[in-house]
Amino acid sequence: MPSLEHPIIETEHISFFYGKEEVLHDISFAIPRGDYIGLVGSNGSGKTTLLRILLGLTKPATGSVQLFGTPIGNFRQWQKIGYVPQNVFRGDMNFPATVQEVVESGHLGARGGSLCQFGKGVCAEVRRALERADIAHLIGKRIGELSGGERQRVFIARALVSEPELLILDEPTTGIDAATEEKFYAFLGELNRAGLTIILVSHDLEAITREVKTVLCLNRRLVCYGKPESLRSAEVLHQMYGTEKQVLHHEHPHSNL
Amino acid sequence: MTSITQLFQFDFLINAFQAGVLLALIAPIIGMFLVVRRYSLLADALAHVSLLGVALALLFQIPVFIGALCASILAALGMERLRIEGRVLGESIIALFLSSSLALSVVILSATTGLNANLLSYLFGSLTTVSTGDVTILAVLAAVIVAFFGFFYRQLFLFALDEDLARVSGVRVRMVSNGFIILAAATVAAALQIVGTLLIGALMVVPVLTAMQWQRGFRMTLFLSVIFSLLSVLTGFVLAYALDLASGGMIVIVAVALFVCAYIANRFFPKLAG
Repeated sequence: MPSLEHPIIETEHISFFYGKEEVLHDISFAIPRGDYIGLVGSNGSGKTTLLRILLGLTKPATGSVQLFGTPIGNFRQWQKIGYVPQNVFRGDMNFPATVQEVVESGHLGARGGSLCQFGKGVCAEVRRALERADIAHLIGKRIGELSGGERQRVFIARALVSEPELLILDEPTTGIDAATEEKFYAFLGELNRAGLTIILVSHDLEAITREVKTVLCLNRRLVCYGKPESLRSAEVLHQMYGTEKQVLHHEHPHSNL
Repeated sequence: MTSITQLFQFDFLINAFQAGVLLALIAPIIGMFLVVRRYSLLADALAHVSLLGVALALLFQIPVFIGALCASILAALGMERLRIEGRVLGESIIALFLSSSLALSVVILSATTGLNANLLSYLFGSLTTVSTGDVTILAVLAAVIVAFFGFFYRQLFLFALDEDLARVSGVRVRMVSNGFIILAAATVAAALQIVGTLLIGALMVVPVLTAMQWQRGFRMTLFLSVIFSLLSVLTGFVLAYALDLASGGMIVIVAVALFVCAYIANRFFPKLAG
């Protein structure tokens, strides 16, 4: 059961403007350890901006963010956070990097970055992360040779290699077929059951309702923060999308990885 | 054809050889990160800014290398600043600096020394004018570059892969980026006399493109880039001496020929490329 005693992320009264346009208004919430959060909202709802603020990539106009109890400006333990961005490698398949090199780069926060700091110990950890993501057989492949689903798993292995306490994924299933997507969600569920806190940004309301423990619904302001069943409320959906929208619910038996 | 052994009978040729080897080692290291960040033309822009530095150095009668170095570093930091601010598109920043610095240098040179043969050596390079001092500067620069890239390798790799991912992994992106771009500027300034303004970009980029045809990982591509760069400089140097042709142009012609061979091999015999 997630505990709010020591929240992993705590935000207070965050707001943000693009020019004079307010994109985030007075956002406050606390994410407990062990939770599995679905961050949802329409295009332009401020999801990406909020994510960037939580990761320290963008400074809010007002308000504060604490990561693991530390104000984000002073936060240095980046190895505690695994981040899987949305668009890495979608543009350039010729980038000369192997799966092993990409996953190794996830060790930066914990070990520093010089060539000599990467010995046999790290190789074992890289292999372990690849095995967790079920892609150990891809270790020597070039990243550009992989399918969208395989590439996504490489970046998850990269995020897992430093044994993080929080995993943040930005639209991870974009461009992935339905079968791979189902396996992918099952994998995230396993990670969460093993104690990893997860924040998942997605457009897919049906998957979010089915998979996560808590939803954080955004439409430039916090529409709701609670159980995924909230997404079945017509009022919540109306506040998020401004139109009548319905979330269909199907039970999906997860395949084992 | 002149005997190859005669090459090393003269001090100026030994200097030229040493400078060429040092440049062949460091140019593709810088070039690798430029290519994967899709910033290949930065080297060309910096080379043209270096020419402005040369013009200003001739105008104020200060050492040419100092003029080229200062102009190149200031421009590099200026370009990086504009890139981060994001108000001008990346490629446009390069075009802006490249054309304006070339225009300024031509105006200054024509008003002072005149557009004479001396300018041609800065445009196309001249290995025969490399002094012992130039070799020392290149050796120090090579040591700094190898140390910087060895120590910050993982940060630079991640920065090249994805800037946001690098920040979230705790990379001090501003520091690494500024360090990289200052070293790129210093390399361009140091290479000015050897391969010239018009060819330094090619020496930084073409061996990397050749290595990328082998479709290997980052470390192996970097290693292959250095090998192809050394091969280009040494072969080009010997051919230029033997055939009495321009050294800078010959080096780049060899580099491009290697690229064409690698491209054809990759295109028609993909198994060779693995």
